[in-house]
Amino acid sequence: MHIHHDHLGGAHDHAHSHTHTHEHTHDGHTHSHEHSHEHSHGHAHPHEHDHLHGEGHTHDHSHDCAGVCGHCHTPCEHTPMEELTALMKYMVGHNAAHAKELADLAVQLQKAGEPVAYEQVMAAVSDFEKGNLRLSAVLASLNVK
Amino acid sequence: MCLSTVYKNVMEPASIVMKNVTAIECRDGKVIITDLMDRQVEITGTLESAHLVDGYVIVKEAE
Repeated sequence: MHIHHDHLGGAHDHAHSHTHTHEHTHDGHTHSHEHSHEHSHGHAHPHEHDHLHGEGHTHDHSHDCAGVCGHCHTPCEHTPMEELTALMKYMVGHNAAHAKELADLAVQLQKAGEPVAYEQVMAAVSDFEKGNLRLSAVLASLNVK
Repeated sequence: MCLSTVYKNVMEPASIVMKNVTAIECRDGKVIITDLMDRQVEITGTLESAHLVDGYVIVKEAE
């Protein structure tokens, strides 16, 4: 088992280059080649790690990021609070998706000739959305800190 | 749709490989697991079973 993370702390901006080896298949034959490219990152905390690419190879490199995976093309280490916030964000979105699924289910019940069940499920959806709104407010307060 | 917990070989707390798993990919004899924070763990082996309602997956490590 390999964990593709090894981060080092610090604070500086820098540019770096790294070399990839790619294997390609063209018209039935396979070949590989290497290329390198240089780039720099312009955000907050630098670290070094090796990680697995979609192409199935690994490499080491350093960069700095804001600790937010969406802003960074490689995975990062995060504080427990960042992880909890990310989990909360996921749950709020997840609950919203479930609320929509339940509303769709209610419509199916209505079409099936079950108006009382429709009303009850829609009432449950409303309650569910109220709870999720409360979670959303908590998430917003966490993001402000 | 829901996040899962991945276990290695057996479903017991000591065998938890990763929680809050968002993606699992099987490639070249390896199972590559990604969590909510985009961390990845790679196990040489196979996907034994996925219990999506209960939110857990068991990966069999190659011997």
